[in-house]
Amino acid sequence: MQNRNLALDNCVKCSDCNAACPVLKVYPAFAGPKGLGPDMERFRREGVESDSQWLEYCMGCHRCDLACPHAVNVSELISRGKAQHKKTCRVALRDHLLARPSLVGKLRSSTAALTNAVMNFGPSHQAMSSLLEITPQRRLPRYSGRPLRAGDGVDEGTRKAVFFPGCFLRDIAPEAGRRVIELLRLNGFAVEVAPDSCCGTPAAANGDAAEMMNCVRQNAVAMGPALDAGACIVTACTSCGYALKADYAHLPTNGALAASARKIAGNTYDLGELLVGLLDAGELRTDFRPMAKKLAYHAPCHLKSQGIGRPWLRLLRAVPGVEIEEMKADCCGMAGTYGFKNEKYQISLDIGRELFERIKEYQPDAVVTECGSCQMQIEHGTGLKALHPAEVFYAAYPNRH
Amino acid sequence: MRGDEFDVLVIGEGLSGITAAAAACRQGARVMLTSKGPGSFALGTACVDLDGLDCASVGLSKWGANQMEDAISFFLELTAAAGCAYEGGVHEHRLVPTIMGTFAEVSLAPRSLWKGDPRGVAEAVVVGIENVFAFDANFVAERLTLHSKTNDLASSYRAVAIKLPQIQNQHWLTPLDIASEVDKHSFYAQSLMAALKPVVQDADLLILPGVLGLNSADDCIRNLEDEIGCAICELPTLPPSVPGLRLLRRLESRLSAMGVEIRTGFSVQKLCMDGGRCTGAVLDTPGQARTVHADCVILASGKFSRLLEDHPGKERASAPGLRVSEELQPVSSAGAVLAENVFACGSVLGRFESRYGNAIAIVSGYEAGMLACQRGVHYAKP
Repeated sequence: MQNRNLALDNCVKCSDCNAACPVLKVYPAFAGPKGLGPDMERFRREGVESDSQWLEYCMGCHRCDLACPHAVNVSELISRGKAQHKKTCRVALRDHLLARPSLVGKLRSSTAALTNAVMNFGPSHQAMSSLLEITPQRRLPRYSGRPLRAGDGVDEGTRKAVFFPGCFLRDIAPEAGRRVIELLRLNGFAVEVAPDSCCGTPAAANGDAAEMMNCVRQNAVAMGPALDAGACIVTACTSCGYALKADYAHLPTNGALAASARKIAGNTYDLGELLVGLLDAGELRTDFRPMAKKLAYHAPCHLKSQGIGRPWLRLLRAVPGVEIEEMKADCCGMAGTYGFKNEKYQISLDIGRELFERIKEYQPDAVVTECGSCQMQIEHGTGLKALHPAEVFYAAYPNRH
Repeated sequence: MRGDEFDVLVIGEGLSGITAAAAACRQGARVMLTSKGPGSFALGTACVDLDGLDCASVGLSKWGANQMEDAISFFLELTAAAGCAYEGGVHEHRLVPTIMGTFAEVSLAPRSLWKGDPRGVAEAVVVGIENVFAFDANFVAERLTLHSKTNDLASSYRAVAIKLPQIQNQHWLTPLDIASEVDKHSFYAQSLMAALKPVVQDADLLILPGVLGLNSADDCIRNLEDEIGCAICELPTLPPSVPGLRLLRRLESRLSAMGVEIRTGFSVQKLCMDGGRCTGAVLDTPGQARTVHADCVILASGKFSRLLEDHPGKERASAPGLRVSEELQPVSSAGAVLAENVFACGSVLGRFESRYGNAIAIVSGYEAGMLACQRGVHYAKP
């Protein structure tokens, strides 16, 4: 096991990370992962004052980590630097809120209809945008009045799974979350829904290391008993999946928490990964009804960084009549809360342009991608409907009840 | 067949791994290519020098001229199909210019560099771009002129500076910034073309720093040459060099189109050994390590690979290079084959002059791909 603090010494300045960075591709002023990661980390460790503004422009896509031939933990170094960076007052307030989507979700779900209306109503949306530096160009996600709750689980089934929906599938797209539970049920799983909490990715992305650690702690407590009882954890949002698998494995360093967080990391499966495993083992229900659909598939960055291939391409290709192609156009540019920020809105769209053009050229019936934030960006950039692949896959099962 | 079961698993995405994966795939094998990151060929000129290469020096006494011819013609076909064609051959020699203003002797080179041979050139223009660092046209022109004279050549070089539209008010730009802009906006490519046209005059060659897009196929560059009426020789600059990245990306897409599954970004923790066979490799993916099962494994993991470190055949760094059998199987110092279905290629073999690195990569990569397929049936699980 490599020492995470020494990995920066492996950097030979080849710049493969810079060549892979989606931000640098559209924004040449950006200092780039090599500069912000291994290069500036040396100054940070010596306590030398350095311009930390650019750290805020890292999207946390982890493409630099994948590109590095020498296993430097580039994005982790940037993320650590982010946590030390001092922000201006309004940006600090905005980022404090953006780091806590589950808190916002709780507040809004109780009066969802009203708050959705107020937050997307012209003048109040404008006022909030200018106060909080949030772009007025995007609709804010509409929180559902029927979020996923613990009671949405199912008991029957020979195998046990804890479904970790994350903020998006719990509060914003709970219907897709219910499809995930159904797919698991149809394939023999008893499903428990993890209690309200966030994986911590938005906190880490907004430089809030303490809040990220709170998330780890809450989830370790909440999911510990089920893990002890032999359940696996299933994620259907690829960013939650990446956080649970990768960040949880190394973030906590104190004994007990580190052990339970590592247990989460070692027992988490992406839904697609789990279902493809069943398909390979001949244990997946495959009595699909034919479905004539032309789908464009976008692979989220946090799927790529999990190293599990493209499970949904194989699963959806198993449905007769489905035509699905991967768009292979790098990052969508949204990166969770990044694309909502005033100063990053244009960068976000510029990054996504290639993807939007490929999708429009392909002319699909719908776009599918696992990540809720990619879905928002694709709908914003193309005007087409973007779905979680689980929604389409579920529709292919006949006699579902 | 299961998702993570393959006929051939190639470890390493350098020139040898890519050639091996392509060769095995063409033979009909189901191939996965995995690697922590790209190989170093994308950082250099990616030229190939075969002159005086003695395959026996790498312990490959069995190799004759025929194998080398086969490997090189396979590589020429592969790069042509990928839209990043090479020129040259086993018995060819050319001089190609470098950003240090010298000439390097090569047998094969990317098409654009190949055109830089001073023996076919009377007057060349070295084009610098204002505010782009990492390329000094005056320096290159002065040194190329000097080297041309000392080698009794007739080519002459003059430096010209062109100005391109600013990008987002950035004062300094890298060749990578220019290349990204060329990819994204056709107007930027048009501006580049408009800036190049007037500098051609009587010249028969334009020498440019590598900026002509990260995705451009040979056709795009040929179109540009037709438009301005002059051949273009694009020099790789400091890393990340645009021509190197372009070559890597085009080869990756070609492999992908051929059906090779590419999963890069993760280190290989270890090879799975079962008796005298290797059954696959363990990838260091987040959460749980993933095992990829394969009938044959091609080790193209580079000079610094530690994968066979614990095995007696791997000598220490002071004596680089894995010992291999005549069929490229790693062997112990006593000469015993470590695993009959593992084949090594590229710089993991280590014992050769560095100028032959790319040549050894192509020839041994091709051989490893072919051997893995010829033996694949033999090694497949019953």
